[in-house]
Amino acid sequence: MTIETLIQIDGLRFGYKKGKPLFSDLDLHLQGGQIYGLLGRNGAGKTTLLRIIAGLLNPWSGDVRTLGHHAFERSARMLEDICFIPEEWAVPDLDIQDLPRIYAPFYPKFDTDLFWKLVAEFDLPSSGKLTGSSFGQKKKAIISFGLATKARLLILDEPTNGLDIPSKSRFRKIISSSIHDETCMLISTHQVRDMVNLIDPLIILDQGQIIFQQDLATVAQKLRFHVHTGLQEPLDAWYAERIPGGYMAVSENTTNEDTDVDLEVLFNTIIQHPDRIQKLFNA
Amino acid sequence: MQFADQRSIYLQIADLICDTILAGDLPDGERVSSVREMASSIEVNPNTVQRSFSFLQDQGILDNKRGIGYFISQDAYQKVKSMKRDQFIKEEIPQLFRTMELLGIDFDDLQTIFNRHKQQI
Amino acid sequence: MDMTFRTPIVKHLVFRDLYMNRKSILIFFGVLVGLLSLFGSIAKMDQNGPNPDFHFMWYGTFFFIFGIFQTGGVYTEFAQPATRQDYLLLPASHLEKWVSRWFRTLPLYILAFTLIYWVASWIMNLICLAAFGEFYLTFQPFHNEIFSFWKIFIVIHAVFSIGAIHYNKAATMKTTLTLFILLFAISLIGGMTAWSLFQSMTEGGVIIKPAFSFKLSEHMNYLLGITGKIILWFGLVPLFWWISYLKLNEKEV
Repeated sequence: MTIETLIQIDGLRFGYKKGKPLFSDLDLHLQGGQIYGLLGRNGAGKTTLLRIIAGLLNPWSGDVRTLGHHAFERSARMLEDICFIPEEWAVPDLDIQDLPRIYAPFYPKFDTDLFWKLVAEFDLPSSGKLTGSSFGQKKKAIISFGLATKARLLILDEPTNGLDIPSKSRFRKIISSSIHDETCMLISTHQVRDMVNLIDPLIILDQGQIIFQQDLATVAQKLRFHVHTGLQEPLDAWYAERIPGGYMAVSENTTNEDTDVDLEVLFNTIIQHPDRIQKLFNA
Repeated sequence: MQFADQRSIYLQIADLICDTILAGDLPDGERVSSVREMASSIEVNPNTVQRSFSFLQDQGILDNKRGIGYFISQDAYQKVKSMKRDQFIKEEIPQLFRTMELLGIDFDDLQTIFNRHKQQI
Repeated sequence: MDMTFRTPIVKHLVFRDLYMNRKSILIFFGVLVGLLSLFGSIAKMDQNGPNPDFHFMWYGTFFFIFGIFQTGGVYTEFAQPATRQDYLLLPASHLEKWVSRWFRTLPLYILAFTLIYWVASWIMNLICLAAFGEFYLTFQPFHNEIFSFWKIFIVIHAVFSIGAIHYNKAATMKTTLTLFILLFAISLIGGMTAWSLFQSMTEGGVIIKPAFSFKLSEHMNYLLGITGKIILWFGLVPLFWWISYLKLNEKEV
C-alpha cells in the first residue's frame, strides 16, 4: 500500500503587500490517512496557508500542488475533491434540505444518506432555514455537508469555534471515524483542548515557516511531559508551566518513558525554543 | 514527591483493553471492535488506536486476522494477568514503599489495614 | 488552464443561480408589471390616441437598466471574502462558471426579459381595458427596433462583464464611472489631436474646400462605420468576454 502525497508545497513565497512576505521559502508535504493539526500564533498565516492550498490565492513564487494539481488553477477535478470548511461560513439563503439539492451535483462522490445521518448525529433539524439558525448550527450543517462530499482533502479552519460542549464531542467522534488512507484532513485551530487525541501529526507555523512537523509518537520519544510537584521549577525542564500543585514540565526524554503529550505545553515549548527543538528532532 | 506521569494515550487505550479482559468482559477468542469504531467511540485519532492494537498484538494479547479484524488471542487472559502482575510489582509497589517510608508506615501497619479491608468486603 | 466543459454542470450552475435569486426575480417581475401599468394608465389618460413608440421607449429603458444592473452585479458573491471563497471553491471549471453566467445575463436575459415584458404589457392592457374600456397598445416583440436594442446590449454586456469580475463591490457603479472617465479621456485626446491637426493645416496654408471636405467626411464616416462595426462585433466584444474570463481565472479571495 502506497501512501500518496496529497499536498506538496515547495519554496512558497507569498504576502499580501509587496515587499512584505508572509511566507518565505515555505515547504510542506502532507500525506493521506492523517489528521494534521495546523497550529500557530495569531497572525501566523494559518488561514492564508489553507487558502493557498485550496487555490484561493496566487503564490508569488514556488510550487503548490494539491491532489496533484497546480492549486491556483482551481481545476474542477481538484475542487470536487476538496472540502474547505471556513471559520465563518457565508450561509446561502437556503433551507437545509436545499443544501444537498443545490450543491451535491458538483460533488460526484456526494453521499446523501451520510449527509442526513450526520445531520441527525449533530441533532440538527432536518428542515428549516439555514440563515435563521445559530452560528453553531450553521457550522454543524456545513461540517455535515463537507464530510458527505467524500472529498479526499478536508480543510477545516477553526472547526470547533461556536460548537457547544456536546457538539464538540460529536465532532471528534465524526472526524475520527471519517479518516481513510486516501483522505487527508488538515485542521487549523487555536482550541487545542478541543482536538486532544485527535490531531496527529502536528504542524506549527511561525514567522513564515513551518518550524515543526512531527507525529506525536516521535514527540513522546524525544520529549518527556511530566508533572513536577513543588514550588521550584524543575531544573532539567526546557519549559514548565504552573498548574495547581506544581509544574507541567517538558524535558528531553532520556528514560525512554512514553508520556502523554500535552499539546498546549508542547506548542509553548516549541515557540520558546525553536532552535533547540529543531536540533533535538533532527538528531 | 513524585507522581507517576500520565502515560502515552496509546498505552492508556491498551490498558483499557487489558482491564476489560481482566474484568472478563472480553473473553479469549472474542472479536474486538474495529479500529475506526473504537476511535470514534473514545474520540481518538484512528492511527493512535491502530498503534495500541499493534502494541497488544506484539504482546500476544490480540490476533490480527487479515481482512476480518482483531481478536482476543487464546491465552490473552493469562498473559494480561501476568503482565499486570509484573507491572504492579515493578512499578506500583516500589512507589507504594517510597510513600510508606515518607509517611512512616511500616509493614505491620499495612497488614492491619489490609486485614480490615478484607473484612469489609 | 482547465478547459473542462460539462453541459449538465453549466445547466446546474444556471439553475442554482436562478433558484438562489428566485425572490429577486419575482420582485423584478412585480416592479415591471407595476411600473408599466402605471405608465400605461397615465399615457392613456393624457393622450387621445396611443403613442406608437410607447413600448419601444419603455422596453428599451427597462431592458437596458435591468440588463446593466444584472450584468454588472452578476458576480455579487465577490462583495464579501466569505461568499467569494464559496463561489471560487464551487467544483466547476472557470469556463463552466463563466459560460453559465454569460448565458444567464445574455441569451437567457434577453429571452426572459422579452417574455416578461410581453406578459407585463398584457397585464397593463387588461388593466386599461378594465379602467377605460379598451386596450392601450399591444407589444410587438419581433421588430427591428427591438433587435437593435439587443445588438447594442451585447456590446454593453461585454464591457460590464469585465467590470463585474474586476470590481468586488458596487461593480455596476464603478464600471459606469470608469466608462465615463475613459470616454471623456478619449474624446479629450481625440479633440486635442484634431485641434492640433487643424492648426497645423491652417498654418501650412492648405485650404480645404468645405463642399469637398463634407463629401469626404461623409464617405469616411461610412467606411469608418463599417470597419468600426466589424472591429466592435468581431474584435472588441469577444476580446472583452475573453478578458473577463481571464480575470475570473485570476480572481483571489
